[in-house]
Amino acid sequence: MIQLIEAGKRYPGGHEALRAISLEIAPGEFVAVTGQTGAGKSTLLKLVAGLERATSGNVLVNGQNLGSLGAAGLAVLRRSLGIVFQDHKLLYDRTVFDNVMLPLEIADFPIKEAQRRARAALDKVGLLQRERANPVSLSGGEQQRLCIARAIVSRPAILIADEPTGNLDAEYAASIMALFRSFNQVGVTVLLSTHDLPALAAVPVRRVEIRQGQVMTAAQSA
Amino acid sequence: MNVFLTAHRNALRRGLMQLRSQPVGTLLSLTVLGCALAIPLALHNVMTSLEAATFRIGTDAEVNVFMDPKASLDDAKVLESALTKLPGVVAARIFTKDAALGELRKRPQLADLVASLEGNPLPHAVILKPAGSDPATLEQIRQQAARLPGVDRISADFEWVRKLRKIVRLGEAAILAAALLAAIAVMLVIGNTIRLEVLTRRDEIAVSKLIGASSRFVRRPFLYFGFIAGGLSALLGCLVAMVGIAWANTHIASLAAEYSLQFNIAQPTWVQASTYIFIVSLLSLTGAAWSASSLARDP
Repeated sequence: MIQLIEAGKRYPGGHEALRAISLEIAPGEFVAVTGQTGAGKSTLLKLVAGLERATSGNVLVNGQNLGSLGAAGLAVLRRSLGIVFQDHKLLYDRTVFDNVMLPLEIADFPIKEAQRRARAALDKVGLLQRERANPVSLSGGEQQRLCIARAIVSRPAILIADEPTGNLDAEYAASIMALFRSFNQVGVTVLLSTHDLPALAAVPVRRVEIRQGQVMTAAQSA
Repeated sequence: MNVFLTAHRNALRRGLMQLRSQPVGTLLSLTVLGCALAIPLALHNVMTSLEAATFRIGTDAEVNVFMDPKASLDDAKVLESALTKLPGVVAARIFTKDAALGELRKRPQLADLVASLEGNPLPHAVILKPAGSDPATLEQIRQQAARLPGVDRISADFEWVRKLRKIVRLGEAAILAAALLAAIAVMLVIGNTIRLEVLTRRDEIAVSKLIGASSRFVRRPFLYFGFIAGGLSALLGCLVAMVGIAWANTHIASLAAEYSLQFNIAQPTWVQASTYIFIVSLLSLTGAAWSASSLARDP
């Protein structure tokens, strides 16, 4: 369960990215946060992922109030989430395989088990054949898939993706959405942000529209 | 327990990978450190050997009381008796002029000179064994012996031993200074190596923290890196010191033989070497911890 209770975020300098947002996401839900660039979508996701702290209100993930967690507690929380970053945040001096291994190393998985899981995750996103490649040699869509593989490799209960279809053509965007749909179908809570509304057409998601830092509407698509 | 061991095994593996990631740079740093670390170790062994030698000499310190060349053996016996009674003298024995000449004949380089002598120009001597080697006692013996009849000259061989001991003390201070400098060098070089490594891996560290790495997880490989690098450089230092001592001993042996002495510098023992490696590893770990402390900060 993800809960935002009157959660707000004001950055140093005065810019108010989110204004007293209240939102509940049940386990196993597929929620897409939509809105224009600068609406506050990414900020909302960062608050849920514990990458930013709310300056007002509360953010709760699985009953834990993130505002009360210290740095170590937030690190533990982030290990339990799968996060797909807007700018991928891949390591370009490591192979595709090593990038996917990173969360498992962080979670101190035994090496054999970690390797098995990493290959399974790469297989899931269709990149197993490219495991020895450097991420630089991958296309934009493949890099996005690699980022998803890294996010799902530790089998998180919650998957958070910031603009996962940004800069992808329609066909590739649809395949990425299908991937998220497949994770959601096995019980993973998916929370993503996008301004690519056509990409959402084919998947049953709850849409939450944000405008100027406030929730405007919530609607079910497909 | 398994999670703990797995975490440390993984951190060790990553630490070793960091060491291997820049083999030339790492090897150069370790070599520089190894050479620097060899100096205090070798100096320590030089001084320990010198100290042992001076102690040996000190134990056998003697005061030679030379008589007037015209003095007879009876005069020598009287003097021996008088010297035995002096405070601070443990024993006294006569070393006759014939025995002295016999000693000279044994030395091949002096054989021609001795053969050319018409008589025996050497005096009788009485060799004193002092109770201790402290300067005050020895000076007192010297002054009292000098007042006795028939005494021509007193040779106190302990003087140079005393000077040598002072040199040894100075050497010990030099070792301490060298050891302190080496310790600082280890911490600075390893600390700086890790600082550069942190800079090289800043993207990896940032991404790791974003996806849930704790500061401890990020720091741990660097600590292993420091510990291993310190151990390897100390091992290298031991090897350099051993080779240096072996080389020096070949020259020292021939020099000592010229003075009919037996002296060589002791090689580091296994216990000494392993203690040294462990201490340097800990110092290096301290440098690494200090340098990696910046990683405790959140992204």
